[in-house]
Amino acid sequence: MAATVRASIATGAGPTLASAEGGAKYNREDSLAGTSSPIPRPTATGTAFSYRKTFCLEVTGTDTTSISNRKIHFAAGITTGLAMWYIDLGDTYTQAAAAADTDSGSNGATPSGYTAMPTSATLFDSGSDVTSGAGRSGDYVGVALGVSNNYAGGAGSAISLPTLTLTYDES
Amino acid sequence: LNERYIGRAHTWVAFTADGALHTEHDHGSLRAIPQESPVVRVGVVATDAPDDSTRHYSVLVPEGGTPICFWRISLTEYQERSAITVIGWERDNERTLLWVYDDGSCLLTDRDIEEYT
Repeated sequence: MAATVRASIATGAGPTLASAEGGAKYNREDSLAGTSSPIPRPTATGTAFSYRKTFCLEVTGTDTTSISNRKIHFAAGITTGLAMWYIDLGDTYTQAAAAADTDSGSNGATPSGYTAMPTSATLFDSGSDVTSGAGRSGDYVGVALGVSNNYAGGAGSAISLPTLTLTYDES
Repeated sequence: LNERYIGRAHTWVAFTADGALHTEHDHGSLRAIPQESPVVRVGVVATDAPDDSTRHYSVLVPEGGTPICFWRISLTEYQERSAITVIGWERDNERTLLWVYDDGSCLLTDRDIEEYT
């Protein structure tokens, strides 16, 4: 039987894990979907980054199985002027308190240490963990959004992004 | 059926050389099957249509082979879930996997499915 697992976001100093399956908003605050601190669009050539969203798989219903091969991807490419990246954070959680990197002077810049979000499932944590205990399973994965000067979509708090998917093997 | 099957299209079964049938419901994991008699066949059956023989699949495990059964589960940020049930075997550098999708379609490979996408 499979364990009950959800995609969760880690926030706060603790951290606190909460379901991320209602959708996330990328911003400059430590929250799942806050709208009080948006990412600015650079007024000249450049890229502004969001705070990192820290996601993980969370076991909420235990079992005798094991989870491994955690992967992440986007469903499709992203609008010109926007970009998204991920980073494997391992077991270490650090509360998001700043943008993923300092603003860049070039469009489409990549924040230090991050990898462009792929459009097919890509491994970020191969480790195997039993599902006998509730809580986080495997590594944290950080995700950040960038807004470049050449983004022409206009401002808003409900700008559509490709669906983010976490995939894992359970046996 | 166990409530945990809700939302999943398939469940696995295994036959050991002594003729015994082992189910996911009984064991949870292939690792939990007693090892006195080796697994010689693994299969998947539909959870919502157990009498529909068109949605039953199995793979013979060759002598010396290790049976494989896992789920590849995807979660999205919009509460969409899908599970591919994977059965097969591996022996030395050989590996055969049967990927059974929620809709009952399947794909037989000798590598990981992502090498084909």
